[in-house]
Amino acid sequence: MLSLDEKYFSDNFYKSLIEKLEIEGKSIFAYFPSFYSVEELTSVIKYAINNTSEKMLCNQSVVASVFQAHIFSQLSLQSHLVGRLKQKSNFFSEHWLEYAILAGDYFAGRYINAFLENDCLDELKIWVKGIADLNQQLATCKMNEDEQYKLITCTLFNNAISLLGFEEKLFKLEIDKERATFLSRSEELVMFMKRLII
Amino acid sequence: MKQLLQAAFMKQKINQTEHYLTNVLSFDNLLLNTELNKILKSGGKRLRPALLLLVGEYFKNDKHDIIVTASMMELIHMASLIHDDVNDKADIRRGSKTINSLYGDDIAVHMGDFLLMETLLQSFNVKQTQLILSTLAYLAIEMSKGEFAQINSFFDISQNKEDYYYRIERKTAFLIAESCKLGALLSNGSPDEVLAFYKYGYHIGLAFQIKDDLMDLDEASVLKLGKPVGNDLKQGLLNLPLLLVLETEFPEKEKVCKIVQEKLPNGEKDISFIKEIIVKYGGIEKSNEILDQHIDLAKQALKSLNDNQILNYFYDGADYIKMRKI
Repeated sequence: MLSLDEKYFSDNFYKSLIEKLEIEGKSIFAYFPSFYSVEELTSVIKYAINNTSEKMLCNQSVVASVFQAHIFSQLSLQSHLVGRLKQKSNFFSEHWLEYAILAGDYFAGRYINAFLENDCLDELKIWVKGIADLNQQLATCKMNEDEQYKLITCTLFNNAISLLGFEEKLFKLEIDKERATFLSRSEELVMFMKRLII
Repeated sequence: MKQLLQAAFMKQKINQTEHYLTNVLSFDNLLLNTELNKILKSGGKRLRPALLLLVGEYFKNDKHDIIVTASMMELIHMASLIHDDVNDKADIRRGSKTINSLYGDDIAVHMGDFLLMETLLQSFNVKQTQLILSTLAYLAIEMSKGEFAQINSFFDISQNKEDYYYRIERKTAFLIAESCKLGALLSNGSPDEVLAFYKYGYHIGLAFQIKDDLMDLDEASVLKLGKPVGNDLKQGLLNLPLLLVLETEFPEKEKVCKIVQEKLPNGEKDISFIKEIIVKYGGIEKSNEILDQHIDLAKQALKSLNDNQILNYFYDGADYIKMRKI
């Protein structure tokens, strides 16, 4: 039986993540330095670490999809917060607006694939519906940049933990031995993301 | 194209598609309803859905799924136009004020995204959901990569024809090719038939983009499009006619390269000079030859298919790409 780290954070996972975070030979974090927050990108993973054991994360496909989709959706939606990007990012290429819009579309393709690659069509439908609602609110409700950011991060987080099944089982499961391995590899992911971002 | 859209069988399919599109774009929210329907009603060539429907017609596919998928291709195109207008800072599209000019970039971007999500949700109304979604995800990734590559290539004289093809495949050809391929897959076409239609779409997609490049240098065409001559070059985009000339040796080459690298310091004067060079050293003729080759390759792809009256429309469609004025 595979251990948790082998299931979710294998070398292939890192290799594949690096590939997907790069657009035309450059990491998304290099296009927009200091813009994305590692805490938000990895929030669902950290939440899972702190609140579950392997028993709870039983459906490997769904967990793999949600972990990736959450990261890619954050990148996609945050890239499209044009006003916030203008305020927060300390580096702009002459073409920052084009890059931002394209990055958003690129990562939309990535989160769709995250579900498809794991045959999670039902979960994809729920995810897309959630993002459609989110986009409707962003397009039609008057909000400032911080409110938009908060809406995106909270909605995606809630949608992700709901798909992972936390709502019913939260805090109820015992921590087993394997969680330690899971935790160490997951921390590695956070460090890895931090390295990429910095 | 006009002839195709007016053929009785296509009129019916296009009407069904328009009806489906109107239904999809009926929202409770007034802003979304008004703005998205304004884009829908403003016209457009409907090239992508028309091709998908035509492929379905070749297979006598009367299933509703083909209408849904054709509509999705148009919706994706519409969403990309909203984002393009933000990028181009365009105020007017097809005679109407753009969403970004009315409500700002942020709202326009989110409205484009909302339309994209609504499009994705339509795929759950057809049997081959996975096929359609994987195609759309693939297109979102590849088209973005193509556009990134394009921006990275601005004013870069070291690029070559291969780089150019990498860009235009992703910017234009893949979407048309995948539309044709989906039409065949949804109609249970054999692998050879699917490949034939994919190749057809791929080559007319490349031809479509090369024609765009040529029109950018043609005064009569740009007048109709309401753009200045050499608008692509002005932005830093090195199109096929110029790249073909730069592949050769000629006395003014160093000067041309310097002007491009310095981002056209003399503006219109530099554009006129480079246009003269392109004409002088055969960039237009060579591009036209390559355009013809792609039209021929598109037509050749059809040869392996069963002869069928519908195929004539594909041949006409390929010729339309070459002859189109806008």
